[in-house]
Amino acid sequence: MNVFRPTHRPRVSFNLKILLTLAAILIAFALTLGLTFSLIQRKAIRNHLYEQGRLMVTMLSGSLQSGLFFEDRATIIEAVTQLLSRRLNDDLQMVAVYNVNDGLVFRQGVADSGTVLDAQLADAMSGALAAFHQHSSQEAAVWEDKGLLIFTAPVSVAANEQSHESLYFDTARSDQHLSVIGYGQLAMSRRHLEAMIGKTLVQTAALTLLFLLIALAASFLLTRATLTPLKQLINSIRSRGGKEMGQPDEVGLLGDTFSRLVQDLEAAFSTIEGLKEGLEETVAERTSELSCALTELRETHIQLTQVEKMVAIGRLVAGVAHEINNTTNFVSGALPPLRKKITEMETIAHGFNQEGAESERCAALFTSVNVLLDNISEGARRTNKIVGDLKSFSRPVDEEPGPVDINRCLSTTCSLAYPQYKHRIKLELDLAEELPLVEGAQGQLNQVFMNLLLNAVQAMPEQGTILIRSWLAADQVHVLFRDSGPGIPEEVMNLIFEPFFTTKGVGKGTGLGLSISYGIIRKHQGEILVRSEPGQGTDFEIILPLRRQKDIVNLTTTKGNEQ
Amino acid sequence: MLPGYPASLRIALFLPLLALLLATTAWGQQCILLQSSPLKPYEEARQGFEQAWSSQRPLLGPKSITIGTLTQIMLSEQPEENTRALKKQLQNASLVVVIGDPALNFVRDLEQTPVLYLLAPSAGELPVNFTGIDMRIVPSRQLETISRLAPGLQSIGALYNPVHTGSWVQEALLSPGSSNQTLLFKKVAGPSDVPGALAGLSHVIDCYWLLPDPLVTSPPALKALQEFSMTNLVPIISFSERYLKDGAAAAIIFAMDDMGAQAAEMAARILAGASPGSVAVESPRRQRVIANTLILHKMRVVINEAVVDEIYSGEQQP
Repeated sequence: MNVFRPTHRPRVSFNLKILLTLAAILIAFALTLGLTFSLIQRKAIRNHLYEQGRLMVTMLSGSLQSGLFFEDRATIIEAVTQLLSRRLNDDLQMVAVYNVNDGLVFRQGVADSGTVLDAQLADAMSGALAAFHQHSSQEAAVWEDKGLLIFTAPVSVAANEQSHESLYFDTARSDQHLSVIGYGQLAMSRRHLEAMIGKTLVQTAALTLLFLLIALAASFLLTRATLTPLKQLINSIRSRGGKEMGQPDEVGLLGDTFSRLVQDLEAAFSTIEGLKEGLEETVAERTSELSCALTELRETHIQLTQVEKMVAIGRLVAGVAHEINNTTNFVSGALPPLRKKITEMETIAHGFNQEGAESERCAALFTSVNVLLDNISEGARRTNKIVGDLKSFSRPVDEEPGPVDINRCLSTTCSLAYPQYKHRIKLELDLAEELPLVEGAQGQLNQVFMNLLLNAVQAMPEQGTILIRSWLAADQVHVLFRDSGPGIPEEVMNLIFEPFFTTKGVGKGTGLGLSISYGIIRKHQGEILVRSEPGQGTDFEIILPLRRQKDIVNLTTTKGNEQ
Repeated sequence: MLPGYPASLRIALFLPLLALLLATTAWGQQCILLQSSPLKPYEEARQGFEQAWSSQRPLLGPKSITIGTLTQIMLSEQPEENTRALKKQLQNASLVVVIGDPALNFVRDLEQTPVLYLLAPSAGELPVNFTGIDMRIVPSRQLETISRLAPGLQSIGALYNPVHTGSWVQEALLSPGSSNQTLLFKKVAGPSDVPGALAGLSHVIDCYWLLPDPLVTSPPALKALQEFSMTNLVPIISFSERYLKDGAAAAIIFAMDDMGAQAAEMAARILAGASPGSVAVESPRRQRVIANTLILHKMRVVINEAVVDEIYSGEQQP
């Protein structure tokens, strides 16, 4: 049991974090706003009070003009009384009027009780008047004392020393001098001011608190509504096995999951990319294979077509040969008894012992008959041979492989094809003695040899020599067809085994001979090698194994070696 | 002289030459019109002077020739450094006509050059080379005008300071405008006397006559008068239109353009050779009545509109 458990900080949910942040911001905002608002309100109240005080003392100053100018105390008292009776401000404590020499003309308090407090107030107002003179102001001014605001304003009238000109005419000059004839003064307490400020502060605080509560509630609801999809997403991740490994909150888990998903995606994309490349290679390989298969199929098709044709021809030839053979058998079978009968007739003729010309004529006739018989016998023999060759050449294509005498095949082929070209082509046969039999299809091999022989003949339109040689080497039978023709151009060397490729004129060749021959030799697991140089003739060498290995098919290598 | 010419032709040639010779005196005259400022009354007076000047003809010589060249100078527009040159120019002039107190004060030290002043309330005692038109409409004419303007205003009262307007009051008392007018004057020695004096006029007078007294025309006094007028429905008749905006119901003032024309006639006499000392200071010949009919109507004062030269609308520029 692990005693020391890993210590984790208590995880705070993302929802709570946002809520706390919003709450902090709102509180700070509310406090700042409330404080600012309070300060502004305080300043506004103070300015308002100041403005009110200035306005009141200015009004007082105006209303005192007549009283001070005419030195009419009753008018002064009336002006002060009117101002006090209007109760323009609850903080108004006392009103004082001074003459131009600062002499007190009149003073009246709101609750003029003659107490010590009033005396202190009067002293403060006198001090404020002295301070007013120090500033030598021509406008209303405020003097702040302990708990008091004292407003002082001069009472001025136009100077008595008017010019004669201005007596008659409105000169509208700005330099008309004002003459100060006294001072008006108001004393206002700050009690109501402080009370108003306090009240404003309380109201501001209450409003701020209310705003804060509403804002917090709205934030809570908004946060919850906003984060619900996120919660659902996180729950979905958890339900799908999202691992929580010390993330600070759900967003951390979301971030980790997202990172993992991104990695998985990158890996998937990498795999897809690899597969794509492999697939391309595979497709290319398969395409190549299919191309080869298609080529092979085409060749097979051609071969099948050719085979069918050859089969038909074979059957025809075989049938014809059979009929010829039957007919020839009549001749061959009739010749010995005929020769016997003629011999008897010659004997009989000799028995008559005739002399003279008749006897000579008779002898000459018998001699001619014998010669004719010999000729007939030779013709029958040759016919039999030809029929035999035809039978041998026209073996069925789909014949089962069997031992094939290559030299015999070559001889048969030559005997069938060469006679019509013997007047211009010299044929040299160099066949190995005791050449072992090769396992194969005799008919197909005959077809190959016939194709090569005819190609060699056709390569030499004029005179020429064809050498056919066979030999054994390394358990392989080699057959060479060499002609003395012009050779194969280098540029077409790689095309000669392609189906339908021919250098002959239209209608003179199908271009299938070498292609079919190549297919047949390949089926026999053999090779066809071509060597040719322009003007030096062409060698076609066929290499056939003695025994075919049924499971080994290496067409590519064979073809590569050929090329 | 001119032998061979007939006598009639010689006379015909001689007479124009004689006229030109006599007119050389006027040709060489240079009159400078020095105006204090472009105040409206000054402008009206200048225009009146100008028109009259152009129509003035020499007393001697051909009538088609003007009495002299007129140069107009606005004193308020002159730079400080130009003062000496201006003084010298004034000294060399044949006649200097000044309009307004500032212009008169500027030329007070001219000893030889004849000076003719108008619209100068502070003229006072001046040297012999000074003459002009004073700012005084005799009280009897003013009272008569008040009587013609508002016949119902029979009891007329005023405050006065003996120092400034004592003689004026005495003259008015001696020569009332009409027999049915009653004059009631209250003497005030200082500002403190004003409220009490006004209280003494309350419910006694029909009309308050504002005199050109600095004590009574001070702003506090005017304010008190205005309150008195409104409270007692007593119209104030002033001596200047400037008090109309302070609540006066009517003003009997000088006709400024006529005063300018009057000055031009006096100038013509001086330029013709009369010494300024021999040309007596004159009073304005004509007066004008400006009425604030709105106030008069509210105070239920019936007026004779034929007497009114101008209705005060409250939008006039001074």
